[in-house]
Amino acid sequence: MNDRERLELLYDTFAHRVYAYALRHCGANDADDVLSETFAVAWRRIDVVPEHSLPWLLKTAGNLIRNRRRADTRRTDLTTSLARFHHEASSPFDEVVVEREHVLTVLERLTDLEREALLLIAWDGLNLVDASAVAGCAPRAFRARLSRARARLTAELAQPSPLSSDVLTASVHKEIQP
Amino acid sequence: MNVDEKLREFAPPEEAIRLHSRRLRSQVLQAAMDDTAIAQSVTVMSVRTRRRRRLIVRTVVAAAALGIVATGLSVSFDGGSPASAQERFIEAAPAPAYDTYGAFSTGSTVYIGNHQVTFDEKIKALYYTSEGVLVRMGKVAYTDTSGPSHYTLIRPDGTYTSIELRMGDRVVGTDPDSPNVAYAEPTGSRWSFVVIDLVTGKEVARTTVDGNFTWGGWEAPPVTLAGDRMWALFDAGWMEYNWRTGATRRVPGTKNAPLETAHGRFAYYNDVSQPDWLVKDFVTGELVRRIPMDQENYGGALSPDGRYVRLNGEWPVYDEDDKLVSPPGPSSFVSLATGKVVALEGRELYGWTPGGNTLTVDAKRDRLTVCNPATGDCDRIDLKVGSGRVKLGGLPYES
Repeated sequence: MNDRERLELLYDTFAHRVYAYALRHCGANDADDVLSETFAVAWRRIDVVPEHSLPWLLKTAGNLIRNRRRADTRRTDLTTSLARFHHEASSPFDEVVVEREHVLTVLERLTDLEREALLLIAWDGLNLVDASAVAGCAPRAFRARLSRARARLTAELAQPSPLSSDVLTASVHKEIQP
Repeated sequence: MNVDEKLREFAPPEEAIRLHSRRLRSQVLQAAMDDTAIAQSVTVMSVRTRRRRRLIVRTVVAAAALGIVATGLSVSFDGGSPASAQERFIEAAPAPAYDTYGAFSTGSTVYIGNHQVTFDEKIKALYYTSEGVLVRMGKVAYTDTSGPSHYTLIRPDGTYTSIELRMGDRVVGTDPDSPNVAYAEPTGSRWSFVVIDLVTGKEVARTTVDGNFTWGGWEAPPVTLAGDRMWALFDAGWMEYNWRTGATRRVPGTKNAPLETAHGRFAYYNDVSQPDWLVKDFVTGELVRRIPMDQENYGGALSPDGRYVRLNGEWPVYDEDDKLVSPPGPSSFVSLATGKVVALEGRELYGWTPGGNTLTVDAKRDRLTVCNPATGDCDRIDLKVGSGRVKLGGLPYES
């Protein structure tokens, strides 16, 4: 396999994972750019991209996102970042939408590090060692962070949803209008 | 259901994301192999009404107060003691000090040569000209915002003049040997090339050209400038405007050229499978030098005077608070005249001075360091540096 074929294989295997990572960090407007930049770096550094490539790609994407220096002012919340894709694949059931928004809202209340720890595992599908590499800390420290994050999310989710039943009712009512 | 299962239930929909990344496949892979993706990663920003800013404090440091005059175009390094380097800095006349020590900013303060000026807006970027440093500023320190930018020319002696440039998110062109600033602007479905004389504030040249510009997110193609010519980077490559003759032309062989130019020279990749840089002369088309790139050095930057190329190691990494997490990798410098490569110690973010010295600022230690990239000789200057984000002259801050 030559370098070009390897880059194509990397893209076909991991592009959606890199894109999903970028999407939640910088929103749909910038995620395309981050995806493009990540694979540009991968191409330039194809000799050093490890066989176990996903953590390297996500780490690179994370570095690029930080380098864009936009996070503090242009960071969008998760609900907004993911809205387009959730809409395209949306369930018609408003209960699901409401619960999803509740979960995303609760996630937003966690610290950046806690949220990232949870999502590297749950959404990016990384194991603990790979996730700690992407997060830039030792596995032991990551495990502690993850435990705290899980405990905090569990506690937060146990609270009643701030979205009232009126919202759900109104939404369903609208749906069934002729 | 545990927390992880709950989160997975509401993960971004994988199929929709797979579909989207598949749609981007050929575009992303082509951009990666053309190596233009980084330059293209910009976002269109709206232009808002211009607001005039107030200039507040101006402080002049030692040289003017001492009234000592230096001669020559630059301040030479003699490899002397730190004390002698400090003396050279203090005693340098404004013009040689600007040439040798360049300009940088922290927060709202611009340090030019051995003078400094403080504004009430944040500094976004600094551009070297023969008249001094042209400073872009605004409410925030970064360039990619929709807020207005204001431009001020700061001369080497610390005096300054507001420049009427009515533009939003664009990349202007300057050159350390030119008193002009150039830019492009949309004119209906066409593009105007405009040149402004910073001394008089008057427009000295304008023409209109056709060209597609979709690769970047700026309001108009980014431009560069040298002598009597300016160039703008369209989808099809660089387009030249010679304002002495009025002639325009496409520069052949520059499609997919990266946005890397200085002083009438540009870099491009001859072969997408070869990361090596070719540095060429815009006017003559002659190859100045091939710069080998490898896995240790996978990018470069031309000095503003077009004499050197900085080879980049690892990129610096910043956290979400804009604090440096991981410093850049070691850098080395190639002289385009001789091909000699000089490595500088440390892992620094290197800017440039107008005269082609490297420029680094350590805000924690209150230290300015300039090095001659041809020899590796450095002067380290103790200079009280204010707080705020450091911006170095000679680095692009448009993104």
